[in-house]
Amino acid sequence: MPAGSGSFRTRIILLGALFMGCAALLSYRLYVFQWVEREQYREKATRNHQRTISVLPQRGSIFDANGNPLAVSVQLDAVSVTGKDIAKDPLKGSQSVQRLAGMLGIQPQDIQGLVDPNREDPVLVRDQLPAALSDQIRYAIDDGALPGVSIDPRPVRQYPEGSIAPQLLGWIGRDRKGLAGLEFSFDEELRGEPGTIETEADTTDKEIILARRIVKVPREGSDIVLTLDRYVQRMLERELAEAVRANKASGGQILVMEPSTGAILGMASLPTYTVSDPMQIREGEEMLHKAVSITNQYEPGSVMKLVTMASAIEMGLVTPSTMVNDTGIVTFKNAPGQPDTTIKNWDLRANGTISMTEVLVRSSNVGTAFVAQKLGKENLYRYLHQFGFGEVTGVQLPGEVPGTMRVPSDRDWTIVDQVTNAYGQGIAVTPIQMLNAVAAIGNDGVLMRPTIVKQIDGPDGVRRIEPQEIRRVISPETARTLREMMVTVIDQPALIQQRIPGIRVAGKTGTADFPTNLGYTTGKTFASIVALLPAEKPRLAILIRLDAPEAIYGGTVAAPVLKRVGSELVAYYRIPTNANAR
Amino acid sequence: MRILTTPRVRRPSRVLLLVLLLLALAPPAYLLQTGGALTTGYEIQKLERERTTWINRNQQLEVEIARARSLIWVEHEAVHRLGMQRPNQHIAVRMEAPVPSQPEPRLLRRGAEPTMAAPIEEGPRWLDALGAFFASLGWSS
Repeated sequence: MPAGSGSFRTRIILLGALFMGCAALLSYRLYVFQWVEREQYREKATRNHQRTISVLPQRGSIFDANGNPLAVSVQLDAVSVTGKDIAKDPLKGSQSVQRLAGMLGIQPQDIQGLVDPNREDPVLVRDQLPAALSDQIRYAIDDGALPGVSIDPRPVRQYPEGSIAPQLLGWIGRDRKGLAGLEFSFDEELRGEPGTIETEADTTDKEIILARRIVKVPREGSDIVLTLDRYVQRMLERELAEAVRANKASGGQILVMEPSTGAILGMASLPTYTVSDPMQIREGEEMLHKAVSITNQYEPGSVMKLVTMASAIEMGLVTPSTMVNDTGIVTFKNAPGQPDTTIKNWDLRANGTISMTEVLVRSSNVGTAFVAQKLGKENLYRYLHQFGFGEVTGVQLPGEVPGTMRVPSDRDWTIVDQVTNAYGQGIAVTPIQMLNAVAAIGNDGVLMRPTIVKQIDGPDGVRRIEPQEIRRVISPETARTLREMMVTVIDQPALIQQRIPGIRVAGKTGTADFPTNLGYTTGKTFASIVALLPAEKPRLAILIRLDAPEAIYGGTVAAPVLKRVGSELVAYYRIPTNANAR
Repeated sequence: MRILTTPRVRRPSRVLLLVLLLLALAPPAYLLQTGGALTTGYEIQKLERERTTWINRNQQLEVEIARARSLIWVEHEAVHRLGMQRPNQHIAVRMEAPVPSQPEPRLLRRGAEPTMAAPIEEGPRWLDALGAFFASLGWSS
């Protein structure tokens, strides 16, 4: 054996072992990459080239009862700049910024201030571009004259009728979610469901068009058709503004409802706000965004006498001709140790012996106290509940309150509550509750659920919202009797100037003091009137309320508004008039 | 006697050549097809983007129409441009006439196909026009 052959073999073996070792190491690493950590790497690779695009659905529109759009979503172009792209070529970037500033009519510094060379995502320069300007910018981008500038459509809520019924319609936030009013209540229906597209990107982060696949088709938002009529709403807003101004009131409400269906045809409220997108909420104006007709309660005053009288007639305890001796003052004994409570008429006058109809005509507190005593506490509160007080009406608006009233089972309830509640004091209701109760009298005694949405028109078809009966409260005979009594109220000599020519109107005025934590504020009232027209078969129920008017009585300030509003509504709805009607 | 034969030269058969040719053409054909599909894909994407732009523009115009038909605009035009005033007294005259149906003012939903424009009503035919001409001259049949 030649010398050195052993060491050669050893070297070969060592080399072989080294290779084997390397191969084993590589195999091990391969095993780790391909098997042990495969999920982690697969995920990394997927993240690197796969893209998920969310396709936003178009938000549904809101229409009035005749199909006129009140709130619609459209896509308007917005122009943005990407700092990193601008900074790539400083000279071209600067020219691009100057050109864009020239097109937008702003200073180049305003855009330059938005450019962050390290930022990869686009920064908004201006949205809601007019179509012509949008075209101009788009063509410049296509020609390569605006590097680092991009243009893309963004959804914008528009209000073709202007700011109409803002407290009812509500508004949406920057995330396109409804945050107030119907936009909030029906957000799920209006918003729709976003779709998903999965696609892949190449090494330059450009989309590989063939890799695009739709994972989920977007579901467009549904349209909502309201019972509200734009003409009625605009007219109510105009008349309310005029009434508030003329009477130096702090605000007010006008509500119009169809008694047979509970459909709200108009609901104006002051003070209010102007709706816009994006919504600008000014400091201290937050409270204006509530639909106060359903979220704020008030003491209705003498309007409540209708409910008391209807209950007593229904129970057969009184008739329109039942007589009562109104001495102008009546005293009630409280609990031992407590001073007696004296109740007086609003005008501090004694009316003498008067009928129940005259109790309503003269709005006698003493006469109503007599009726309340005849009814008894159980019956009075049973009927108040029957008419819907103390519970929410269920109208499709957010934040509705049930109102407040003490009931006999409450510890602090007294006989005085029974009497004062009967003529609308010491009890708090919402305007919609009060109107709905009066509408029940107009609907031959059937209480309907107030509704503001007539129809939901979605991708799956049309869903009609049918009128919903809550319960029968009084008989048709009682309702008719009460309407006749209410006609006498409106036909009284004091309101002769406020009659609507050619039509019989059933109504009742009300004046209630402003309650505060320290008692009632003297000189400030809620002056209101409720009406049903035409009285024979009412097609419209109206509530008008002015808050803290200069002349404090409902008959003085609200009745003239009823005349103007009623005349307009009679003409608009073509309600047949009769020349013989006074 | 031994028969001497010349050894046969084995040449590749035509079939093999054809296979080789097909194999050689396959990658460029695949590339060509993929490229074509990609181009078409981008074309489709571009057209879809254009279509979306036009649909958006259409909706914007419809909103403009709705705005021009809004009560607030009509009132503004009536008062400020035409100088109209609100009447002090309403005079209603009752007439037995059918109520004209309102045109459908609903907006187009996104993705909805626009309705075809109705052709304008054709004018009188040339024969009728000729008859009318002669009638105007005092000639009648």
